[in-house]
Amino acid sequence: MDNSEIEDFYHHDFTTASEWEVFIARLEEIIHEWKIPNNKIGPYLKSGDFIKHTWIEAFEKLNFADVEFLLKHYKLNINDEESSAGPTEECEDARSQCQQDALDPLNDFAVLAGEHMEIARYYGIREFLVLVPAKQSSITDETRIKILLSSLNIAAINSNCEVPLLVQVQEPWQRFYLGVSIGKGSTANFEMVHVKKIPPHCKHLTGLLSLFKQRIGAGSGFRPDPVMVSIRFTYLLKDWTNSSWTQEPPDFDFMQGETLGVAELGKLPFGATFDPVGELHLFTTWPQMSENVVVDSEGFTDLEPQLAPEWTVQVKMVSSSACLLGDYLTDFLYLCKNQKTLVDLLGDAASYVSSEDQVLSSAFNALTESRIPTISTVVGKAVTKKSKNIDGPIAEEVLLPILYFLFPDAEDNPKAPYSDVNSYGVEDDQWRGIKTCAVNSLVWRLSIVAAHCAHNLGGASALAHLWHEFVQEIRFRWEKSIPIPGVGSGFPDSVRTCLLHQKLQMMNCCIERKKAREECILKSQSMDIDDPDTESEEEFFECTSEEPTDEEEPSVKTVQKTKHSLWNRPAGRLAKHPSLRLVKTGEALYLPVTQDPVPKTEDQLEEDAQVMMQLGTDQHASEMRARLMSASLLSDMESFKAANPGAVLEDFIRWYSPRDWIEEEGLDEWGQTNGHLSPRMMIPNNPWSRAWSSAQPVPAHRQKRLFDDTREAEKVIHYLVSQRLGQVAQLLLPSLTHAALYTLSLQEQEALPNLPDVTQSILNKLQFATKPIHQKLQLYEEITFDIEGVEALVAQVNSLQHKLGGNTDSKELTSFLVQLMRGKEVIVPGGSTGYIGTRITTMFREAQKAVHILTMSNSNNEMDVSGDNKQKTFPEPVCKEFILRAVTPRPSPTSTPQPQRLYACLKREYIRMAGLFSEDTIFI
Amino acid sequence: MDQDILTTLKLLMIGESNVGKSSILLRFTEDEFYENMQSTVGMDYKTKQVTIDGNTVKLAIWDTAGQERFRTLTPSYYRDGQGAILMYDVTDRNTFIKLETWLNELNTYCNKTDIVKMVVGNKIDLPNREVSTEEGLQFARRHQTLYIESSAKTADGVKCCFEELVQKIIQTPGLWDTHSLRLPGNGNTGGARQRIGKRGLQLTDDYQPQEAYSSCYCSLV
Repeated sequence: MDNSEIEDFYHHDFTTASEWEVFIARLEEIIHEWKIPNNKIGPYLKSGDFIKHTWIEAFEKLNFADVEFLLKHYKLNINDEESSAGPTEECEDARSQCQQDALDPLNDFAVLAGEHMEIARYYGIREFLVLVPAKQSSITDETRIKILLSSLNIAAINSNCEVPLLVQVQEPWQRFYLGVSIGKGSTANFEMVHVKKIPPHCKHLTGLLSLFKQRIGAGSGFRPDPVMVSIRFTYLLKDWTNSSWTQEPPDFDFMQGETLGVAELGKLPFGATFDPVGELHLFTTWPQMSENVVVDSEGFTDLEPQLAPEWTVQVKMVSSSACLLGDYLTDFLYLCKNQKTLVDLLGDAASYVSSEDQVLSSAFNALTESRIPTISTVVGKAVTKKSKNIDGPIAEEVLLPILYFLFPDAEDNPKAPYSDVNSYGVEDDQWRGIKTCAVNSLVWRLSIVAAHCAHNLGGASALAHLWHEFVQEIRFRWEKSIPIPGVGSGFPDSVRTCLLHQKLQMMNCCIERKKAREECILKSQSMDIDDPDTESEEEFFECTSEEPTDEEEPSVKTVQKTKHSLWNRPAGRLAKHPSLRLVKTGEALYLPVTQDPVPKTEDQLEEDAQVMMQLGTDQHASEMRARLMSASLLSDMESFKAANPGAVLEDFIRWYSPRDWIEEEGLDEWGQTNGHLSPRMMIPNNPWSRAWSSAQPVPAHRQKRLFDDTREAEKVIHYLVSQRLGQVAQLLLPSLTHAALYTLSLQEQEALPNLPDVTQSILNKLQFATKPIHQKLQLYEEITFDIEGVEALVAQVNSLQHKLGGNTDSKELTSFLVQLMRGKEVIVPGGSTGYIGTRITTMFREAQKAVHILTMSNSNNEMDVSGDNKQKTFPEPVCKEFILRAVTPRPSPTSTPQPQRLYACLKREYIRMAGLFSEDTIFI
Repeated sequence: MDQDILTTLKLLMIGESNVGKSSILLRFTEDEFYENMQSTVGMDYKTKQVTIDGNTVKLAIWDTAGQERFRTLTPSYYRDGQGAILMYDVTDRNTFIKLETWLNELNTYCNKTDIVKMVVGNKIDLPNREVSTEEGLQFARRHQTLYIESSAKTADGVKCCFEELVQKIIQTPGLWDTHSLRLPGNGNTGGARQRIGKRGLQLTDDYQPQEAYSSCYCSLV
């Protein structure tokens, strides 16, 4: 001892502290940081609390020398309101929290997800700290394990921590924990055994009981109270012999020609291709009972599953269930990226031949041929196409029903005629806002059939084949002037329908005008003979400027017109204006027949807008735009001039833009109010006066056509035929997705009460996705993913219902299914004797039978030898769990009684035993 | 400068002929006014950049002709419009009455259901007023639109008219930016400013993936 003064009590020297001391100090520090020593004893747990409430997690890093560890804290989060009324006060100081929980049977066998949560199951505790080596390394060295355990011991004592402190040792996958809990005059040791080979005496309750008693009675000689036991056996069912639930995909091979029904063609398949329910776990539980009421030994067992007081079930779904509808959509989406052309896929015969000569001849054919197509025309056509060597993968006998399905009017007795396809977009329509087409219209059917082709009939080339045939039919109808069925009437609806539908509407507009034109010619020819002196020819105002037949017309006209001088004969009058008279001549003002407005599809509108925008925004650009837009104005002016010989701009303006006619006082010589043009119309050389002065009196039907139906029709056909396969698929994608969602919406499942809401939310997405002209595939991928997910869920519920409910449909079953679908362990109502219990028993029995038959056939001769041939309903349990509890004085008979607990879990591949053994530290 | 533009907005100008649509537009874009201006044939197109709340947006404004016969032509330019100015002449009741028709037309041909509409009573500098402010306001309230009165001649309310419309469009989720903001739960006010603040994010055309599946799943089971 030296004489140095030690006056400064707060001066310490830690420079020589070992790594171990540093480690322990850090442990204590973290424990203090988390304020764990302040913990109060919580109330008793209720049944299911382990699962119902969330577990709070926290962790800190720390080092032992250069080895990194994590100290983790887990705690069951119980609401405060409950804890206030707990029975804590009475039993305070008696036992620590973990000892209290270890004896509490209400949360036995709780299955908790999450890392280290098995500790709660092993020891039944609601709060613990666990030390784990970082980086998943293993601690197998005995010395190290001892040092770590000692560290925990010291830290627990130093910091007054009653919460169990555990350390994970051995290989991480073993989930092997050791630990200690110190407090309330007692030490609880957490021990574990985990071995592959199960000792024979540990296979049954009897053996485990004696093991337990031996362990807790060691050295005491005291006869303890009966041990309380809780038991759970788990049975696994994977083999659904008679109760599997799958959906067969539509089979096109079986269906020959006429048997290929409309019902199959027009529907998308729905459901799982293999059973979506992977496993059913049946837990049979015997909760807390005394050891002497149950026998389970090698020779005899009371533990028959049917006798278990509690049955619970959990199902595991197949992780990626293959569902038909999802597959259809996914396949189709994949095709959307295909860059091949039709020629690539079908050969040169599919190339686009400009059918000019056909068009020319068809103009005459149409006059002689019947309007209603006969089967032979269509069938004959299919045959000619065959002869043109379009060698598609779709067989003729499959293709024909498909074509009749798409174009039912080609048959005398259509199997599936179109209903009203104009109902689309009605305000109360469930599908309002989705820009596709009417349900079950042509585009709808085509997209479904296309999905069938892509999925079942040969993938990309089958889709190409179908598309080729479809376009052929469209062309055929144009040539023969037969309207396309199943398409909304009127102008292309660029607000509510998809581009393909608009294209077909455009085609119908062309066909309609072509027909009207042809009828006009017919009529004028017949009139030439019958009654040359009526004015009724003015009702036919369709322009025919570019048709070869056009040449005939002037000659027809000249015959009639000999009576009039050509220049002032009024032409193209629609109706007499009720009041207005021409300013100059006083003749009645006639409204002219004008050219019909020009139908346009969305892509054309887009193009037009682009052109207008690209002109720029200066004065010159505005004039250019005015000029571009004035075509229809000029046409109207010419019609007006033709109908009203001697008319001036004032007359035209009064009809066309009445707000530019300023009325004055007084009447003119014809008795109508005086007036003059608005100042803006009198601006010199303004577009209106300019157009007026250049307008010739030409009736609408003789003007240059604003809408050239021949050209537009050829444009549509060219558009359709020149699409690459991916583009074709993208044209069909919106309506196919719509049809898929429609299919989904038809599903009804009581156990999924939110199904309509979910469908609605997908619908909202689809509304957004279908808006643009060009489809964003990513959006459709997401929608497909959604639909797939919902389809899988519906398939799962359907399968469960089929298995567990059969045909019954009760509230009890529904709520049971709802809970099962949440992936939780659910109590079987009525246990083994209830309806569901009976169904489950039957399923196990069937599965056992199947196994039995299998083994019999495999080993025929051994059957008799074994003798024990009595067929059991249930297989061997996959897992047997036991929890043994006792309160005994340890370490000596004079000690205070201490809680003891052993958890044992026996599986085929290992046995695990986790024990919590307490010792009195005061009355040793 | 282009990268400073938050977005391009498409605006439509509709209403009866000779109510002053082109004049208002000219006043707004060039700050000019002609007592007599040519009657628009079909439609015209102008652009202007405006800065509102520190955000620069480009306005693409489509000015349409009011004559009835042009209605077969002009609605094709309505598609993708984000804002519409419905104009009438306060000195002509008839143009006000016709607004109803124009509104219907807009609803029929515009594919955006949530297009922001503004009713503008023009020519308030003229003495012989036929439609009162109250009537205009009432119409606007009934049809849930913005309302303003203006005069191209005196430039009253012109700038304000466009600025308010743009402001409203920017505050309307889903109208000008990505779909992600249109999901239920996004109120159409409040968040607007913040959204403008992080415009870098919103400008991308990519659809922001939602946790749709999970939400789907959760709500189902």
